[in-house]
Amino acid sequence: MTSEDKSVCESKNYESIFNTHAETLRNFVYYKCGSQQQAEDIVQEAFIKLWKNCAKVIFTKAKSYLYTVANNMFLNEVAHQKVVLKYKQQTGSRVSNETPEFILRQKEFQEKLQRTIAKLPEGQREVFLLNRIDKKTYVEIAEIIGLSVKAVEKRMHKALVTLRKEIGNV
Amino acid sequence: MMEEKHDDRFLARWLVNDLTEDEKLRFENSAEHQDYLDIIESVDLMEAPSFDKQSILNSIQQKQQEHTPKVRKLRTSWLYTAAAAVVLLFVGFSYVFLNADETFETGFGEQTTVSLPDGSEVILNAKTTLSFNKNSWSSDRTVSLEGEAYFKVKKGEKFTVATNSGTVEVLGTQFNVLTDDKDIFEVKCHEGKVKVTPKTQKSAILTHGMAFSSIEGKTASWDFNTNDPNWRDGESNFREMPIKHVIEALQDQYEIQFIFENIDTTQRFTGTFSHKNLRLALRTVFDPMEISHTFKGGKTVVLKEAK
Repeated sequence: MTSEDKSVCESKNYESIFNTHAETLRNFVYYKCGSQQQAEDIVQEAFIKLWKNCAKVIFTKAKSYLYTVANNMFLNEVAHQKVVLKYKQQTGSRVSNETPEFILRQKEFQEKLQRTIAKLPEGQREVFLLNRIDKKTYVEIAEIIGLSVKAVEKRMHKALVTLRKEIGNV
Repeated sequence: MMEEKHDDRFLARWLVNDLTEDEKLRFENSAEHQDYLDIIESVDLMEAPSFDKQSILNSIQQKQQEHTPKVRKLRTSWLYTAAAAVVLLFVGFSYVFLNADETFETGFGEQTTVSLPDGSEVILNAKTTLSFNKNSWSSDRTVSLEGEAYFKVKKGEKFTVATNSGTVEVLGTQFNVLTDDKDIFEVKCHEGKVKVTPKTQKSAILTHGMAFSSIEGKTASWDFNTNDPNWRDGESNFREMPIKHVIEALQDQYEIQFIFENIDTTQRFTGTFSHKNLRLALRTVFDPMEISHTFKGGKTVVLKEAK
């Protein structure tokens, strides 16, 4: 069976779609709205909508269907909040012999970075974080947001320029 | 050092190592390079809030059940199939043999409308019993009737009304049937064509506005006006009906008892009585017949020949 004629209505296929896309979808919405709860609600709603329309959605189109639905829901109902990222538990430090001063400086920098990311325009933030956190390529991001790869690259560039400027100012 | 002028995708290309050697060299020697490197290094240490995939999947699956999709595979083992077949067989068996007849009854002064499986309608007058077999309905449209009823039959196969005194067959029409347990059988055709077959006589065909009766062995046919008020409008009408039957109709309508004191119950009555006013009904029936009626208690009426 080719992936073309797999049915979304079959639990097995539906679950595989969920396992592949749920997390990035959640992050995508989270980067936009900054609320975990709302992001997860939207993920749920999007997947339920996919289920209701499972007979109409082709397996290979399920991904873009999910992102479109989630984006529309976001536009409709979500109140914007600040995006808060957390730092990974660091196993072993990057730099040996860290002085307390260095650690403090690093912490300060991270906090500044957090604040400036939260202040980025939504379009730049979602591109930037999908690339850095979810490790999506520009091509994949373009597909998710429905823009050209060039436009995604421009946003990426702008996001970095903005971040550097803002951090210098903060 | 002067900042380089970059094109608007420069940093994006830098991140994916898509710069020319020359661009790369110059950028790595610039002051801003370190800033960007710091930003990227720091961001790459971040992660999104944790995501509990399983609990979300669970709650989605819970909601899925509320939205069962149109296409769904049926997974049944033969054991389930067999069990279901046995249950079905049993249910079907008891349905056919224990519950085949559907019966409707009206009480004193009551009227009710019965819908038959094919959409035909039957309006029952007071103290009337109608029954039919709903299992064989699709092949045999037959109802049994005792009392009086008005039929609105949907077009289709032969429709039969069976009574103690005869049968009425139609294809799709409106008609009224009046019968009692033995000697009264009256059919009025309001629309279409009706074939009437009394127990003891030859059958007759009635069309719009024609009526037929077989009363105590004597048959009669006449025309009537289909627009005249009838029992469905709250008024019973009779044509040359033995007074005995009119008295029964009064009993059915008003739930009263009659005591006869030497009156001739074979006299015929032609006329109507109202279902809404007992005193008026009694007067319209008995005054022209020269029978006096007096109440004895609330529910009993004594009938006597008027002097």
